Amino acid sequence: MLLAGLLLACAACGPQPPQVPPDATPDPQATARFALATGVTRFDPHRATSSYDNTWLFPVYDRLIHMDPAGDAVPGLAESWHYGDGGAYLELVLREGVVFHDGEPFDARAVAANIARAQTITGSSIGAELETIVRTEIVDDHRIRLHLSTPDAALPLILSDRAGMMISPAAFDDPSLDRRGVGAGPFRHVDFKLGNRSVYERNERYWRPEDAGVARLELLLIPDETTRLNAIRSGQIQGATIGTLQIEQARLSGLNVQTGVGLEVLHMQINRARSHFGDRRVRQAMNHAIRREAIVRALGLGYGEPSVQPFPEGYVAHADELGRLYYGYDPDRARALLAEAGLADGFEFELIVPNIPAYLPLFEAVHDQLAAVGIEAVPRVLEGAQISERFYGATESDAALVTWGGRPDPSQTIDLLFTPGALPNPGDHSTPEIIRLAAAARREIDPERRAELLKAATAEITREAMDVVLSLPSSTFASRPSVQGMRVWASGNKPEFRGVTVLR
Amino acid sequence: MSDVAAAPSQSGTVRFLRRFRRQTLSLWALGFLIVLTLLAVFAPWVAPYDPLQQDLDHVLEGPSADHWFGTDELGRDVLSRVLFASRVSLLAAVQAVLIALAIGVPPGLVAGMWGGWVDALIMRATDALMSFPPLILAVAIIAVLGPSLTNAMIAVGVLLSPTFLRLMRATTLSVAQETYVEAAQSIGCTRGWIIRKHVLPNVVSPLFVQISVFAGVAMLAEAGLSFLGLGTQPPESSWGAMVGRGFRYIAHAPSLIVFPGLAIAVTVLALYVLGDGLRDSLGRETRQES
Repeated sequence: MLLAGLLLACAACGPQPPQVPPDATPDPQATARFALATGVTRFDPHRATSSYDNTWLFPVYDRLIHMDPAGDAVPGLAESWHYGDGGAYLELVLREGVVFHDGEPFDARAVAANIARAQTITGSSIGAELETIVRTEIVDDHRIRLHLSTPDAALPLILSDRAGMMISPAAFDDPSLDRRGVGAGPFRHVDFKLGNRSVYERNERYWRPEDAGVARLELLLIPDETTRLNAIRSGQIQGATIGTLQIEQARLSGLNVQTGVGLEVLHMQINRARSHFGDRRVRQAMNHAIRREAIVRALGLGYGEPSVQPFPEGYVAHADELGRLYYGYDPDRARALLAEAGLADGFEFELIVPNIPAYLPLFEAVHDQLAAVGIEAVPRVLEGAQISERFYGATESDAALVTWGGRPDPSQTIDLLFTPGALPNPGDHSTPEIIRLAAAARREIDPERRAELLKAATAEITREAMDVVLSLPSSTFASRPSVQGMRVWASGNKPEFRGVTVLR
Repeated sequence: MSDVAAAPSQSGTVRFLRRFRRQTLSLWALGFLIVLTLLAVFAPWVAPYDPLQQDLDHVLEGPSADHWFGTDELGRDVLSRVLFASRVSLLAAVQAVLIALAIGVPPGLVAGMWGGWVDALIMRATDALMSFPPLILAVAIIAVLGPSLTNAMIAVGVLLSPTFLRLMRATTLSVAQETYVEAAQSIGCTRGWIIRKHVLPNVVSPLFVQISVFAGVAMLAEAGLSFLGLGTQPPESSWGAMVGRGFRYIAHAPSLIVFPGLAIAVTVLALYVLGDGLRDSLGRETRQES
């Protein structure tokens, strides 16, 4: 109670709204201090295990290819790339004159060494993403060919993720790499205290100097969202990721708020090899039972996008002809589908619920709506690691209310969630048509034909009701008005701080 | 008043009632607690809505004619939820106090009556228990048993038990020195008989005072633990759990924490005031009465 009282007191007595003089200019010597909700596992990108590590790694490690805020591949350390020989290899033309923070030159040899390390190092978390690369060929100092076992159209965007982060080869065997990264990014890594704070300083030799808009960047781990918002309001930090429930509060405090839908997916993921979920009619019934718009409006306070597709509108893999809400809220239709499947009396299944406060009302809403058509979701409250173990590892549970973090390339999400053999698809269930379309989309290197295949795959996934997507959540970043250039990224809750400046 | 003259011959109960009747505040507190208990017992008939009935089209609304206390994040009626939560909160307090009594009273009697090494052993164990920071111990107990209301109340009961134990021991010790107890011992009465006949009647009064106060403490502890998610688990809800959940929506619907918060504050206050009144009316020593 004392704790509650203190928090209340803090929430009530915020400082005056921050003011910025109209003639303020970016301060090149500024320090920017931001807080994040999730910590970093390792500063070795080949062995870091969480996609949320990316935010901590981006300042240090430049990638071969960048992803723009819309989710498209744009030049990074590779100035251009093209497939050769009908997709037998991907050739990268590398930027010249780039050096790593330790003075080592960045060239084709460094790229080859990085790919070899990512594929072979013990404990690599990204080896599977690069498995189509069978051999690297150094054409000259700034030209490298990645020879592929099969055409892999997902590769460019895969190289915009941890798999494309370039480590200085001289630091490969440095045991301190887990704590201090050595890359070629816009910032040098100067200090890290495990689990709470990472300090970066501008890399004066970065190839696009304006990306390092501040002299010093500090990232802090603050798990509690109320503490993060209060820290911005008090000026202790200049910005942080916040929850959608805090948007109004942040705006009232005079902060800037960027929010937008990315590639994250909030879904009730089902193991289609368990319960009655092998039956498409049952899956469709569950999709018809959910009132997505009401859930987003009530629990996300309107932020986020109600959707039955795992990709947002306007994205390359969104099946436009089906629309966002192919399965409208229709409890009668749901009951009819259940009766058709021989389940007129309904059924029970186990639903894993993360022990995170935000998931509790979500579970209650979903539970209520399923119960209305006769389906009883029996909750099992677990924490993160236990969910992975029980739902994905041991496949001992029927469904889980979780967030899919998204992947840079749509083929990755389709392959991992909806085709057999991947850990994120417990039960390995799929259909021949989905497997066919997914494989074709991955192989098709012509962007337009590929887009058609991706849309067709998503349409088939949606018609088969492979998943019970609830919404595409918004990612939100709040900052003091002095912070300029902050953008919301398609990757979801993994912001990059490129080009961010602080006004004097 | 004619009965004042007859006071020495009055029974203890009558004397207590006469004294308690003058404690206006305590009477109010007692009245409030009785009404609250009745509301809790008859919640299904009193509550205007089903506490679990969702209405996603009317969420986070402030107090209105339809919903006196407003609605929560799922559009559920807060008044109905407060009423139903009172069952959990009151029951939780009773549960914790009963556990504390069960753990604390018997060893307290034994320690006071037998003395010697038995007393030393029990008291050192109590000291050890009391040397733990209370909340940390509660969280540790819950960590071992798993979060649930019963486990949280076991933790609170364990935490409260040393005070009961010390109270029982102190009272027993003082009674045991009385001449009539010595007399009983000298004619061969067993200690068990002495506890039943002489000790228990004397410790009942301070015990009641302590129970009233500790019911308030237990309710606060339950609220705190449930606020942190370690107590009551949904779909059941207690006042503390309601404050804990409503806290996330503090900017959108402050009424979500105001009403259960008030319920906690007023009920705990009532229990303390009642305890105060009981102490003033029960004690062996006569108060200065005007």
